Amino acid sequence: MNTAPYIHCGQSTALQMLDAAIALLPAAAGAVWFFGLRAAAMLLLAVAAAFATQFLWDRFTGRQELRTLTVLVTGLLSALLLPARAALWAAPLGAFLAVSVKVLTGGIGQNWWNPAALGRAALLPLLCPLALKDCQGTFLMAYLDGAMGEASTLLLLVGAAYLAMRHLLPWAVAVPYLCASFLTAAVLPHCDPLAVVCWGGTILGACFLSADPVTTPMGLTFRVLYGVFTGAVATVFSFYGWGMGGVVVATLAANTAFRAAETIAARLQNTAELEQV
Amino acid sequence: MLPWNRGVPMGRAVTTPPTSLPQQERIILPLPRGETPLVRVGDPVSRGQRVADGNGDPLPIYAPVSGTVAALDTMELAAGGSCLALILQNDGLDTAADPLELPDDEDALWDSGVRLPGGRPLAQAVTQAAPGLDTLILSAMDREPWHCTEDAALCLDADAVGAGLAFLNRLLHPRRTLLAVGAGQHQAAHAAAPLDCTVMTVPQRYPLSHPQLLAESLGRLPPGQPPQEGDVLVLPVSAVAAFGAALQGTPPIRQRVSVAWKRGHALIDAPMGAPLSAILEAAAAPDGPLLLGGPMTGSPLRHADGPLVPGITSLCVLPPRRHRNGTPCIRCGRCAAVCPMDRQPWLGIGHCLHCGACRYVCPAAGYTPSKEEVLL
Ligand code: SF4
Ligand code: SF4
Repeated sequence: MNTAPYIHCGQSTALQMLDAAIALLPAAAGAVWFFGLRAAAMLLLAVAAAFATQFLWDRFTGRQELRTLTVLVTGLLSALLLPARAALWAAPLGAFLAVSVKVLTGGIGQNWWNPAALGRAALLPLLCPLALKDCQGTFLMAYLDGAMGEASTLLLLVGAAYLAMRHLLPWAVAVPYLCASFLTAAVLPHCDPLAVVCWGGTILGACFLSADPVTTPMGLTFRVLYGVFTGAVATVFSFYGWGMGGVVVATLAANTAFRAAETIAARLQNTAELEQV
Repeated sequence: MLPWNRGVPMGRAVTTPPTSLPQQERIILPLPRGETPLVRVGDPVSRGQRVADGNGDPLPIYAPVSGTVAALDTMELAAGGSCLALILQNDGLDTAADPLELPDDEDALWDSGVRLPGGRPLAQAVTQAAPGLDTLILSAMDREPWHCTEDAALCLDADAVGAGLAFLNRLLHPRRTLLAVGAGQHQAAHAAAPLDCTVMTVPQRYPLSHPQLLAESLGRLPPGQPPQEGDVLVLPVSAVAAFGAALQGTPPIRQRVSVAWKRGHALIDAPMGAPLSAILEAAAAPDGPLLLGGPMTGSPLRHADGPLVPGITSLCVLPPRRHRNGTPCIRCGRCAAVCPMDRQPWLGIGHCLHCGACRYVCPAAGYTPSKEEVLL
């Protein structure tokens, strides 16, 4: 107890990450239910790989990021973003790439890109270049559409409700995301807007990928714009057959654009304020 | 868990009946600002007698008990340094001096010896704001969570508040006189009804009771302008009550001190100069690190041996803290969402009240409180 305030609300980064992981549990349980032990093995391998990677990086860099439990969320998401019929090694490889890139781009707080989305995107070229529809069944990734996590919208919504209950659901992103998805789908030919909004991938992108505080913008305006951008782009990409890959690519593009915009805005504001003083 | 975006809950601003401190043998009256003693060692003093005089900031000091002057000695101050102090031996007879008579002008504020919580003379705050005052705001809201001295001042001393308020209205001629009460302070709002002012209800959340924020929300002060220099004056009711009591003949020789800890609080009515340790004992407070003031902006107190001096209205006993290093900022934005000044704490720009609300909600804070420690 060195500085005021001497009381604290009790929230910590680890608790927040634990909550995010709990919110993913219904979807994870659903994956095991639908896809069997293979899904369970993928989940376990991904989480174990995420923990191991972070542990080794912590040893190497001297930082202590393991205890923030971010890797728990990264690991779970890395598996859930993959199709159940992906090769068994894809899940731990995705988790390894996710955590490693996060560490190499500055570690928790500094990383620009959502780790799980990044890990999944890094697997895209391995699994299916350009992921066109006709590649189904021909590449390693036999079942292109249909990540394990998107199997049940209902279970995802249960998790999202939990996030909302814990005040961790970023409404300012999720609502614009869903609206943008709906409107984009309405504009696209032969596309059922309702089906798009009810698709698990949309819910995953709107409520779970955007719930990562580090890579989602902080201000309200940026959050709304981020939601609109990601929702629209993800819908277009998934419509053209990228499935979950479309969502992660849209998320990464938005991560990049908005983090850059935020940094520039903060610099400008800082200079303006300094000039005033 | 509490919704974090509601700021810091105020929780306990409900007055409990105050406990009177038992008679103290020795009373220590420090003279830290160079007050001139008016008595010599061995002199008899009666309760309410003026024992030290001041001119300007060194305010007059009145004897809280009757007895004799045992010593005029140097004493260590808890904040460091030392000063002269009058030490009174209590004779237990409680012989009262003549009631205090104050002039009917600005000098009454100085002569009364009343200080605001924190130690600034009431007279200084009032005289600075005197010319062309637009809005006088009395605040019955406690500055910090856990405490209830302001609430108690209004609930228990409403007529003294009335007397002080009438004087201030006469002196300052404000265009409007407002009284701010928290939304949960029903008893205080009831007590305020007969007073010559407009009662305004303010949400009971932590930084909102800050004078600057009250001035902005009630006094329509332009944001960012410190209240005392503008045309809005915010005064805590406890100081106005003490001043009103002085007008009625009782100088500020006793003070209510709110003692709060994690699971409880007590209101102790103590004479000035009583040792803080006796106050803590009377409050039946647990052992633990001590804070002067509230849990959000209080300052650590190394020991409780010092005496009660004007300006001390609240003490906190903290639970022992489990240390842990924080994490890097995870950019969650909670700090900016709770900041009453619309500041972006991570940029470190804009005017800061140092209220601590941003650190209260920050999940990456430099420590994780133990579970028992989580508020309320
Ligand atoms: S930045 Fe300053 S005013 Fe804002 S919440 Fe933090 S301490 Fe309070
Ligand atoms: S300083 Fe704390 S509250 Fe503010 S964004 Fe960073 S982690 Fe969140």
